[in-house]
Amino acid sequence: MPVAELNGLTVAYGPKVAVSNFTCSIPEGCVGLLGPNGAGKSTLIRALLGFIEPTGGTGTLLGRDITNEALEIRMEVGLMPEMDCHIPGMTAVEFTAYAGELSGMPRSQALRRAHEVLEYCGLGEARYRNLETYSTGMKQKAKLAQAVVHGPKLLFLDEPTNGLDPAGRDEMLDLIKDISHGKGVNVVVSSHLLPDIEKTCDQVIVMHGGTLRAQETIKTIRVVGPMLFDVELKLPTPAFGDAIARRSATIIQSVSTRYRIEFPENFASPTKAVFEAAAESGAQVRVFSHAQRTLEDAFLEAVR
Amino acid sequence: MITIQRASRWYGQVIGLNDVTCDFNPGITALLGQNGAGKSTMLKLITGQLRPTTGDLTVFGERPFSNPKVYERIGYCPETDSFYEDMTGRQFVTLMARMAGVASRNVDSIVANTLEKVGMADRCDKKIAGYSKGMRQRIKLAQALTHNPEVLILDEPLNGLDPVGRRELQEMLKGLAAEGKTIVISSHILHEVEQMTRHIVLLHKGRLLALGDVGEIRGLIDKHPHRVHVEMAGAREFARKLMVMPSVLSVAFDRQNPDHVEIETAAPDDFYSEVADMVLTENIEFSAFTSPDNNLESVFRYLVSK
Amino acid sequence: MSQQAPIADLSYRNYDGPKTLETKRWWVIARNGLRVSFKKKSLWVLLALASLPYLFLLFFLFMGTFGGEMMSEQLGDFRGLMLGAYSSAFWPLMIALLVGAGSIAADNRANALQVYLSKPVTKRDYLVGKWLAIFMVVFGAYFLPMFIVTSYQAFDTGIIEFMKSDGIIFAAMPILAAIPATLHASLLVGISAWNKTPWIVGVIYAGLYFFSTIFANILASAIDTTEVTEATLRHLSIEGLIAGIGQFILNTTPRSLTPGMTVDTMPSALPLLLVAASLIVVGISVARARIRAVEVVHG
Repeated sequence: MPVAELNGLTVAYGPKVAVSNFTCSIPEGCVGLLGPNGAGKSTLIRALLGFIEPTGGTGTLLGRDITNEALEIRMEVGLMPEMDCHIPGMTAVEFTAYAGELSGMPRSQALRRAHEVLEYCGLGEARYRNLETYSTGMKQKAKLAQAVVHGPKLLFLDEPTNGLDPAGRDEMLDLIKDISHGKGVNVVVSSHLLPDIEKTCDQVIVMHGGTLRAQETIKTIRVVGPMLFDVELKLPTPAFGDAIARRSATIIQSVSTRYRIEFPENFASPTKAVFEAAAESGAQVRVFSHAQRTLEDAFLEAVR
Repeated sequence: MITIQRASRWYGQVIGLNDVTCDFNPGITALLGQNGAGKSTMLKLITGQLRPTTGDLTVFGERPFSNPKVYERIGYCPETDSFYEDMTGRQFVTLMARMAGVASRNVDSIVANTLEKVGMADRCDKKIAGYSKGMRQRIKLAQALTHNPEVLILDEPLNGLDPVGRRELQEMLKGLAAEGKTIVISSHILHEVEQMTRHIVLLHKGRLLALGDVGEIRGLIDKHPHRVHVEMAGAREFARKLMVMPSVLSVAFDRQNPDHVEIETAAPDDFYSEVADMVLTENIEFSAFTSPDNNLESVFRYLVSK
Repeated sequence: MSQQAPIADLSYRNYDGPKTLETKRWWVIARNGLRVSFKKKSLWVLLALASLPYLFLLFFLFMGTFGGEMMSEQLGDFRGLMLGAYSSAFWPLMIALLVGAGSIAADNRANALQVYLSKPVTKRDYLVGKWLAIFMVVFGAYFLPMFIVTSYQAFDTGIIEFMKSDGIIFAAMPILAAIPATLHASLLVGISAWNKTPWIVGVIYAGLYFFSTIFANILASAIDTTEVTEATLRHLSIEGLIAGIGQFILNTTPRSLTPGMTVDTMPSALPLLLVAASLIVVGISVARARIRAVEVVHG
């Protein structure tokens, strides 16, 4: 069952149409919501949460109507906003438990659960400290904790890795990957950092100018062509180009030690050809694989 | 261009930078490190906002601390936003250009050019207060460029930009580097750094941890053997042959994919040439033969998580 | 749940406990507001300061009982004395500022509204909760000392006799405490919703408060008119409204412990009630207009 079904959804702020005639079905699992600034991602999320009333079209989230059942939806949904959003003067435990109470949990359950999710998010003993004293990475984790305290079925994450250093980013990505796979939580991640999406999501939805531009699984995005290969040599070796060209490969692109080459269809042994060319030109092959498209390339294609 | 000689900087009892020696030359250099590693301190020393507590630091052969002669030749894009929110982007950049010493008769055309360069030409007459994060970032970059500085110091310059904007500005920075400018970029987004440069300076807890080309640095990390990932039909058969090679440390299989095998080697050069010989003599067809830890992210992780 | 697995999975698990839409979310918000307020030590200090006039009163009543006849003239008018203590509004104002200035402004600054509104919390829940958190503290700051002093006096004079002469005070006390609590809460919520900086809210409200007092006094002196109208004009400030409506409820004028400092003319009730009611409505609707989950400009 899809997490959300949108049918011709349109949202306008006065004369400005932010989301126009958007039809899409968001599947279960971890989905990346991508688009350049102003593509309408935030507006879409806001409309799904019932913050803004759509000017046209219909939509359901977790089987509920987004215009009439906003409160019911929000009880089953968690939102991790992009900006810092702690409530001043509270410790992480208080804050998270409060968020749980606001979602309709009894206080005792909310407190128990707050400890549990903060521990899960890796805040450990720091959870007794005031949120104002937190580093960016810790704040980000506390934001995630308040979004999952009530056990949502769907989680919206807005730029979850923004501003984190590499270690913090890894931890956050691990959490997202873990929670969105096999824990009964569906996740929609919106981020500008495409490699992060690539690492966590199964599928992406690309928006541009308020419309749906592409919806694909990460797996299909990666595929480019069966006879396209990427080769990387240890050291720059210009002679390799000629050598491989003599073996009926076409060089599509070459940047210093990296080559993208294409063999004719039904070419028997690309592996051998590449290693032979390398041996002939005195190069050492460090990488040889079927060419893969990065999400970034796919994204730039989709929005152009 | 920039020479740092055993420079340290304390803030009271807190140490920001500890006995660092390095040079920055024309081209793009990435300044990496975790939060609190000393990157900001180093950038502030280079831009002359701070004076090193001990040691020496020169830019164009002069000490930058409160030295306007140096300031005129440096462009600085800080991480935090500090704008006059009521100004338009154009007014702000013009003001900054005048302060950086751009002559008043040229200022309008130079500002217009720069705004064009950072992709703000169409939006620069709106008030900054209404700008998105990406637009603010572009304006900050523009203000660093107006006086055509030889050295550019950029602190998280691409933060908050969408992928399209990132790509645009990356290309622009690469262009500037190709013109011979010295560009120092501090960033947390390692894949983005990797798209711009192979040359890094890595700080860790205030000290210089690594310096130079990413590939070379990777080669020097002995503690973590090189990993090679192979995907092919009959991976186990291939692995059986690898077992006898002295350069191979371990062979591991994947629970889910019988066609995947991961090899660890302590002598990559030997290993790669032995595999190459094998491919030439036997009938081997890889669908993937890659090195998953031969990238900046792994290098960073190996070095920092000690 | 019945069958325990030998190894428990301690990573993330779903919450399957009770969860309902029926909870009084406004009460959750108000209670949290109280919790945060009472964590501040300064609130306790202010509460102590606010009860000082009542303590003095209590002291003199005590002295009056045991210390002879010299005070009995002033002490005779208990309602007037209560009103005197009630009219000293400075420390209660400070309490209101402490708990109310940041009420919504701090949430605006910390971007906390997104947290509230991504939960099943309505705008009304939020506003009622925030309002109530201020109301309850100010109410308590007025009500408790009044209640203690009145109870003392009642026991001291003899309950039956006291109920005959001043019994109305027991009924009036909750209303007396509710007037400043409602005014402060409504106006502070209104100003707070439009700001991002708690101390600016405090300055604005304090400014409004004192300026209105000065303005009302100037107005009353400038216009040459009857005594009642002048008294009414003099009470057209936040401070004055509280004192004025208090007089009307206890049907007396405030009496100070210092003899000779007493004003005897009561203002007329209707204009004061109307002004107070409109201030309350304005405060709340201004706040209501501002609280939104979405900043439309971002689009």
